[in-house]
Amino acid sequence: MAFFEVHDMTISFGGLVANADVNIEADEGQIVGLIGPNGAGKSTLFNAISGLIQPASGRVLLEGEEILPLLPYERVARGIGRTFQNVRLFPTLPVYDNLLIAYHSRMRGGFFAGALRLPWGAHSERAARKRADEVMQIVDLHPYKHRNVGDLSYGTLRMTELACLLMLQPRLILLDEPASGIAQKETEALGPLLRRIRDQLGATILLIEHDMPLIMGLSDVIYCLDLGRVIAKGTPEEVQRTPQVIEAYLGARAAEQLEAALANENGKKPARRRAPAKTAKTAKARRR
Amino acid sequence: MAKVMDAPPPDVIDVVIDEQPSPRRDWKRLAVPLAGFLAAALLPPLILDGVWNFTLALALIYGLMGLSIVVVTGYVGQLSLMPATFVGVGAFASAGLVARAATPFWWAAPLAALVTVPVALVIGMVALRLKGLYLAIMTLVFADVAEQFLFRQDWFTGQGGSTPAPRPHLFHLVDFQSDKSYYVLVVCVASAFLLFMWNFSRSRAARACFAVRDNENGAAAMGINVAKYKLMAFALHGFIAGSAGALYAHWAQSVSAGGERPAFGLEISLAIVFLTILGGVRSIWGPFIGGAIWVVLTKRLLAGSPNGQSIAFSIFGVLVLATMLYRPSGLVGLGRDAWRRLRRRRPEATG
Repeated sequence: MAFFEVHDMTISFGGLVANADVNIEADEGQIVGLIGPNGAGKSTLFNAISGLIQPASGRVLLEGEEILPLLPYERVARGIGRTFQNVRLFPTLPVYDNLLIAYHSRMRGGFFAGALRLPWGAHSERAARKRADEVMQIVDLHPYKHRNVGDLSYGTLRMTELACLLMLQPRLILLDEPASGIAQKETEALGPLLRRIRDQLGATILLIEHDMPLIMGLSDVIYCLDLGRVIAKGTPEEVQRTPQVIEAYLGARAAEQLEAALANENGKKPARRRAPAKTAKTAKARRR
Repeated sequence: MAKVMDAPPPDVIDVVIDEQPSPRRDWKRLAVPLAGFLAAALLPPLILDGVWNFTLALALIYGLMGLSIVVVTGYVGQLSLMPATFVGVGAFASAGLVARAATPFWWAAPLAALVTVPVALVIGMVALRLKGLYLAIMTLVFADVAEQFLFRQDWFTGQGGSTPAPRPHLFHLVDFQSDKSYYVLVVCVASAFLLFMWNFSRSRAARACFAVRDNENGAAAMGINVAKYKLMAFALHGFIAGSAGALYAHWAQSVSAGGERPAFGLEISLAIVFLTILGGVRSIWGPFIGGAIWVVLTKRLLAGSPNGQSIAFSIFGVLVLATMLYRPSGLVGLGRDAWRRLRRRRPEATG
């Protein structure tokens, strides 16, 4: 049994099937990449795992425990943390407060603990502030501590979001396109940072990314989704060679040409693919 | 990770030094405004003539009503257009308990505030399903229902729709009969609320509220129980408005729902919301500034002259409009920005 498993998950919005029979596995400490063209259902899958939507059927297991009945905040408490494709921070609050909010579920004290400065509230507040300082050290956010998140550059926003995730010491991190919209230099630094986070926290990372050099260099296993289905699974090298993946990205004709070119290069005859029914085009037609 | 971020622009460093938090700073940030508040509140009775005690007590009571809007609108982002309804519930409950159940004021006022909490929670429960404008309209409807029905029931408002609400005394030792002594009582209550709210605003629960206001989905993803904090805000909204209502009843020494111009109707609710916006809807000090302006403007400066009331309302309206257009953070935000600019110009002050 793997650390984290998704079994036969199907998600539909009305008649539109966003994910169909998706199976995903991740071992503890693995970095698992999810790739696929736009609309493949990657973010939808993340939404289902983090509890923002309920799948029509399927199971999601964290350490063998079913998490689908749990509310989003309960899943956070179990150690599932995620970032979003478009940053979801709290724009009118400073970076520091954003980090403290991220630590919410590990803190104690409600209204009365706050209003009356009861000891357990104050104690937990001190612990949270200490942790926020530590995390800001890891991600190097100290210069931005008291700036409102709404005033930050996009790259810094991303780092703030990541720092918020780290506050919780999550065991499973869902990263939705961490490199989108940030500068090339920052993207290059992202790989080592994610690896460091994995090593320091012992967390398992599920990563959606379109930046191929980044995700291919980082992932232990890659799943490729297209039109809501997993069309390939394996190491980065294996997935890159899978005809369906090339086809999903480049179209059937380009895939054939590429295959032919590759075959010519290797001095072999181009191998005809066996299952034309699985092309993106026919799958689309079938869905209608 | 140093490579990921560029060096912070020069003005950032300024901000960082400006706001380096330490426990001592932390208290200073409460002590200075609170001392200012107490000075501003306790000086006028000494220098102005007696009538002002009566007026300024009302200003503080309006400030408290506005504080209830700060919690629910400023902190959690739920627009409530019915604070006056909760004020009315608190006022009638407190007066009724004192006049008909012979409860001492010291029990009746907190009880009245507590009675308001479940009423506010009912609204809060509906608020879990509605957002933005729809919620605001819903609160309007509830306010109207309360005014047309609840405040016209004799069992609630007393015979003939009005209940006497005598000023309290403390074991016959301290008498709060006079305007001046009652004013001091109101200052004490307001200071207590300010102290609690200031502590609260720097705590885990308040940050959760801010998060819900800024981004509900994000808050849920951070592990915040959105419904719980919305309900908490509405409970606080009711409690503070109910307390203000109790203070109001005994300030006026009798409470009635009013006929032509309802005492707890839409007009008053809107005034409370607007004075809070004018002062600063996200600051606990804002409503007290706004309340002072509102009361002094409408009840004192222009109350005597013909058409004075209309002129006062117009001036107030223009002030609120200008605030919303140019400084949504209100007069408190204006003051804060001015203070920062002043300190930045004098670098030795930041060190």
